[in-house]
Amino acid sequence: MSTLATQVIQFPDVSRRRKHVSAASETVSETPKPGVRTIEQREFQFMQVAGATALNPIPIDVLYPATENNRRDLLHALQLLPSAIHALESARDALRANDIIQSDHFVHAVQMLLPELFRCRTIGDGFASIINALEVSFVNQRGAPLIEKQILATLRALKELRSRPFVTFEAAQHSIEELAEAGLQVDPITLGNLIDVSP
Amino acid sequence: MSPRKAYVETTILADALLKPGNPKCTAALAALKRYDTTLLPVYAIKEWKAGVVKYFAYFHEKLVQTKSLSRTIQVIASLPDQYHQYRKNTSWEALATAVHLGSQGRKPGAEPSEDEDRELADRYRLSIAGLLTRSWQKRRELTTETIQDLDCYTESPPMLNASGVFDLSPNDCDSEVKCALADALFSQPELLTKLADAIPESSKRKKDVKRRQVLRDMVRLKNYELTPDSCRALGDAIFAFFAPPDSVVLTTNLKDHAPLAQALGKSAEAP
Repeated sequence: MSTLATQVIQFPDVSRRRKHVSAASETVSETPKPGVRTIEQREFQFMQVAGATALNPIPIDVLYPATENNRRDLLHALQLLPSAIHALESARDALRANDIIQSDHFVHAVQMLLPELFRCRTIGDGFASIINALEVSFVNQRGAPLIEKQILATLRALKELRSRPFVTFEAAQHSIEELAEAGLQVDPITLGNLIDVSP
Repeated sequence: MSPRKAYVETTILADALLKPGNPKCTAALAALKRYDTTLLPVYAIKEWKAGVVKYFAYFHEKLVQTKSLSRTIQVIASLPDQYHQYRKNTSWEALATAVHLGSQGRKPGAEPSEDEDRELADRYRLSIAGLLTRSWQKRRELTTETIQDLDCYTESPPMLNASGVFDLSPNDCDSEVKCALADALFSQPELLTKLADAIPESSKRKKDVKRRQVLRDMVRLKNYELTPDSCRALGDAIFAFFAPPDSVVLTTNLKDHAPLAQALGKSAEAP
């Protein structure tokens, strides 16, 4: 089996049958029974999990307590996050190869994904807080390329979100603090102007 | 030359923690580095929470309630004069641009769509909640020491309740517990008189009138008891009184603090 596998996820209300798709060929190794609805057939084709080798992947809605309301957002976010992570890894590698322009290009690709990720905020306030902080950080960069430790901090934050999209708001603040410690300005500069505390 | 010591007042705490990216924040943080020792009294934390943190929590609550940034701005702008701290001339566009690149292409003054407005409300709701949460965690890391704990005050963090708004209780001291500062204050009535005298009689500002009255009553009236209300009214006078003699009161509000500190032979400095 290829080390790069693709999971096809099924809803628990229809079937627990599992199947695998080779990423290379994208051929279904086990055909679903007639009438069995998979996410693939509903709204999302499938999600790629780089490096997944599990023979018996756990359905995503068993892993995560998604409700009917946020199921769509969760699956959409879990589709987008690997792209963002891959782009950031490319940005990191480009920077290590001293190609700042290429690195910045990949970071920009991540930045373009953030508004769509923020639209998946029904997942929870923890998830939304981290995505929002990243987007604000990029705005505050005013076009300046990220340095390596900022890329790494962003990468860690997104990888954590992929593993724990239902991160609590409080736990999310630790991730955001790590972004700030890497030198990212995670708060809107306008916050300080909302209220005047001068005498 | 003796080591430099600063007794940190509430405005420094507010600027350093709640004005990220703002020149006032940079100035406050730089000022703290000028001193060998920086002392944060818990009274400053209490004032900070009951003041600027409460204001931010109110803005946050309006965002939760209206689910609209533009309506929140309208509500804040229409508050009466006594809430002048809230009534900042903040435009929707300026707030939008600060959090989201996509909004930069909007025409100035153009009406935001409902979705756009709601999204911005969520962004600010999360940003404010995050800032309050993180700043509370950092409050005691800002200075080299946090001093003068108050037995009468419970330093509880701002907590998001089930409705998604901040519960800031307690905002005041526990009225059932004796004021932790009372003995020290009452033991030096001559200093209280000097502080009262340092407040210009000509000042008609509500806070000056009340502070002067409390200071005079503390000297004049036997068995006078400090209440949460009078404790709050003392405000700036507390800093002048309790600042160690070898320290300076570090504040952005020199206008109010300098005369009080000078009345007791101390001094105040701005960032």
